[in-house]
Formats: sequence, structure tokens, C-alpha cells
Amino acid sequence: VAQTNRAALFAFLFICSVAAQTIVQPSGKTVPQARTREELDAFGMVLYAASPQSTLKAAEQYRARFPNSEFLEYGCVAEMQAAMDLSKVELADELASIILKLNPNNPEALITRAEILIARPPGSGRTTWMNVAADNARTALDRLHILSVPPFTNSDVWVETKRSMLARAHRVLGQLFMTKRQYGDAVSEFEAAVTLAPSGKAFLLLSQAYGKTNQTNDALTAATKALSLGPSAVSDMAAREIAALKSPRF
Amino acid sequence: MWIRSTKRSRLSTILRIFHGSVLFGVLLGLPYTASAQSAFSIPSQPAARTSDHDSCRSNPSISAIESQIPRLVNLSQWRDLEKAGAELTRLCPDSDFGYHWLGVGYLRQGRSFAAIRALEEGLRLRDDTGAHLLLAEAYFKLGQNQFFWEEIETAKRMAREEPGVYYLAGLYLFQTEDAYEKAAAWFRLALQKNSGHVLARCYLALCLRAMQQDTQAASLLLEGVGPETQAGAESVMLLQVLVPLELDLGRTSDAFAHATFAARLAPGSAKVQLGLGKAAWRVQDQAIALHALETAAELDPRLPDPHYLLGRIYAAQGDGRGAAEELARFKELKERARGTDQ
Repeated sequence: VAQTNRAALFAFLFICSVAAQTIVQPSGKTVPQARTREELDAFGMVLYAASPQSTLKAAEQYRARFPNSEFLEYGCVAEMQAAMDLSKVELADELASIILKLNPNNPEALITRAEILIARPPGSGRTTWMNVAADNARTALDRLHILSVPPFTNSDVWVETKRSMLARAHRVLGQLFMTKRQYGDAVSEFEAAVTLAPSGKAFLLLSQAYGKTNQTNDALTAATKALSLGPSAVSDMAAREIAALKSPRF
Repeated sequence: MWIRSTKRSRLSTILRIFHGSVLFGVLLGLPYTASAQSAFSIPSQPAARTSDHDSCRSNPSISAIESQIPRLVNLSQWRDLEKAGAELTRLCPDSDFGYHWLGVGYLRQGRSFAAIRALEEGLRLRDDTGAHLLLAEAYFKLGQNQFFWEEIETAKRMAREEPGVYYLAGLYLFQTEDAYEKAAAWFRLALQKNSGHVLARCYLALCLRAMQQDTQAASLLLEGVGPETQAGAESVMLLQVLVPLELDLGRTSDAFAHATFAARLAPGSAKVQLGLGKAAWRVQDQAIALHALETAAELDPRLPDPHYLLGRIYAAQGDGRGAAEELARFKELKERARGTDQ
């Protein structure tokens, strides 16, 4: 996960202007520039920290020392990802706000914000937060779809990173449709997610959506896939899903 | 902002031939081609010091690790090189050479930040032109303009006759700023220092093409290739730039002859086979074109262009189904290469 996150972050450092596929800026003009070598090194420490804990520590020091760094957005993304890995959701949300102030189209922050809203919905204003989450996911999808391989980036790494982020955005939309009981739409979103980046979580959600649309065989297949892909928490839930699907009610 | 022209797209395609391992590998003097080392004679190993550190270096266990390094570099075993460098820094913490190889190992694995740290540590112990150039490369990869030029200036001061310094500076201007005239001036300086610097010659030709000086570019490349009897493996790169240029200039039979020659020199190169396929298609030799393009697709299954041309040939032969399959494959690979396949 850390490697994928790093790859994503590194790739985004070199993303060209994306007003249209045929119009790009020479890369040298869009890459953030460090003012001092110490600043660049401090940013590197954030990007390549060995654990989420050390990322948080390095990022905190980096932000305190270089508050006006052109790399700030990317340092905050690394910190936000580390915060999510450590389930420090409030910190992650706070960092997502900072990132979106710096760049309202940052796909990682948009998707993370939406995921947080789904995982911890605010007590009131149901329609509002759902609209915000959906807008975030759709903006991230739009942004991601028009991005090509950034300069100096391995295209395979980039494709994998992009697919993973697209899948997360589709998963968010699927979960929102599930909440709104629009199960057919949820199936489409989860199918898109598993096609882009098969994961236990996405297959489990797809299984639940199939279940709601009475596609029991498909639901069983998806749950079995989730069981095998894991991680263990997902496998446990998939096992319960399979048992429920095999029960007489179905 | 600027609009990507067709000409520029072609240039980019040609550029990709050199981008990546070969391009940066040559910085280390890796033996990708017979002349790469002589063309780009950056010291690939820090020179021995005449100080107390010699005693450390003469330690048998350290000599054993050091003796492994050329093999690791030649085989591009960068992770192992990183380990060897780390071990050397542990055994000889006051010597620069461990940091040097650690830095190279990191750099070749794409870990530019770590490479910078290791190389700067080595430079604190001993100043070295090669390390400054490697640092410049790392800053190049991170797109750090100021630090890149600082390193280039230092390297230039230390080794004024080193063509690699001028080549790297030209490459930076070519790739990150599209400043073709300025880049050409640096490539010319590299060639003044060493007329056998193949990559400087190739990039100078690409600059000339970008400045609409195609005829001069062709002459420059032909001068580099020399007579067929004297051509070596290094000529392949020159021929790879020359063939599409000659096709654009309408010199199709010259292009076909050069492409055939390149394929004789490097039959296992997918890009060379692709060049031959294109040239053969233009001189309407379908049999050679088909064979070369199929070989190219087989050698590098991720290469989109052979499939496009195969599609056109199949279509011309009336094989609609085969053409459709090849064009679909081309589209798929092209989108994957651009990272837009979702």
C-alpha cells in the first residue's frame, strides 16, 4: 500500500496541465521547485518514510520548517495517506481540507474526503454530505480520466495507480447508491471498481449489491472472490455473506 | 502552453527510443554499446585516494565487494549494488566510494531522494566529477532546475573536457524546456569534446529536426554512421534516428537501405525491426514489412506501432478481420502506454 501511495504521489508531482489531451506544458515548468536542498531533502523524508508513523513525524517537521514549500500539497497527501493507514480519520480529514484549499482538484484528497464522509457520516444534513461525497468522487473520476502518464514515470506503475484510484472513486459512488437504495446503479459502480482493481472489499460490496437485486449466483461468486482476496476482516464478512446467501431466505 | 504538433509527436516517438535505461545507463558508462563508454567517459568508479582511506580499501573483504561492482553494474543489478554500497559504507564509513555506489544503486532504482543523500554524503568526503554528474541526473529526474544547473556548473569547472557534462545539460534543455537551440549548442560542445559521442549526435539531430533543419540533421547522422564497413553497434542508434528522417525527406530507398543495415546490426531490437517494417512498407515490399513488423511485435509485445502498420497491411491485402484485430490491439496498447486505458 505504501509503495502504491508513494508511486501515486510521485506521479502526481509530474503531472502536466490537463486542459486537453493535446495541450501540455513543458514538464519543467510544472514541477514544484524547492528553494533549498534541505527543503527537497525534508520532502523526500516524508515521501520515503519507512512507516506511517514516521511519515506523520517527518511530515509534521517538514510542514513546520517549510510552510511555503511548493511541495506542500504533496507532503500533505503523504501525511493524509499515513493518517488513514493509522485510522486517524480526523487528522486525515483536516489534511484533505488543506490539500483541497491548495488544489481543489487533487484526486487523492477528493476520494479520501468522500471515503471519510461515507465511513463517518455527519449526524445531520444527510442529503448535503451525500451530494458532497458524490461530487468529490465524480470530480476525481473526471480528473483522473484525462490524465496521461506523467513525465519520468513508469507507465505500468502509473496505470496501476490510476486504476486503483478510479476503483476507489467508483466504490464511493456505489456505496452512495446503496445508501439511496439505487441497487442497480450500485452494481454498475462496483462492477467498474472490480474491473479496474480487483480487491476483496470491492467484491464484497458487489456481492451485497447483487444480493439486493436478487442476483444470488452472481452475489455468491463475488462473495467467494472477496473471501479469497481478503484481507481477513473482509474474508470474515464475505464468509457471513456467503452463509446468508445460502440460507433458505435466498 | 503550447499545442503539440504532429512534428513534435514524431520527435517524441523518436525520443522514446532513447529514453530510459539506455539514456541514463550511458551516464555511468555502461557497456550498452561498444562505444558508449568511450563516448561518455564519466568516471564510473571513484578513483583511489592517496590517504589513510587506502588502508580501508585494501582490506580483503572490501576488495572482494568492490570486485563485484563492475559485474553488478553491467548486469543492471541495482538492488544488489545498493546492498554492496551500503556494506561498503558500513565497513569504510569515512570513505566516499561506498556512498558513491549506494547513490548509483538508489538512482537506478528510481529512488532519487535517497540517491541525492548518499551522493552528497560521498561528496562531503571527496569531491568527484562523476558524483556531481550523478547528482545532476537525480535533480534532473526530480525536475529541480536550480540544483541541476548548480551541479552541471560544478562538474564543468572540475572537468571542462568531459563531454558528458555538456550532453546532460543539452538533454535537460531538450527534455524539460524544449529549448532546441540552446540544447543544440550544448550537444555541439559535447561533440567538440568527443566526436564519437553517439547520443549527443542523435540529440543534436533531433534538435535540428525540431528547428526544421532536416537536411543538416541527416548529414550529421550520416557522418556519424560512416561507411558500412566501419560501422559498429553504436551506429544502430544513429540509424534509428536517420531512418524516419529519411522517410520524412522522401528518401525512401535510402531509408530502406539504412533500416536493413540497422536490422543486420541489431536483429533482436524491436524498434529497429519496426523501423525496417515502416521503411519496407514505404518501398512497397510487403513481405519484408510483414516479417519485420511481426518480429517487432513478438520482440516487444507492448509496442503499439507494429500493430497499426500490420493492420494497414492486412487491410491493403483485403484481410478485414486481421486488420481489425491489429488495429484494436494497437488502440489498446497505445492507451496503455499513455496511461489512459480506463
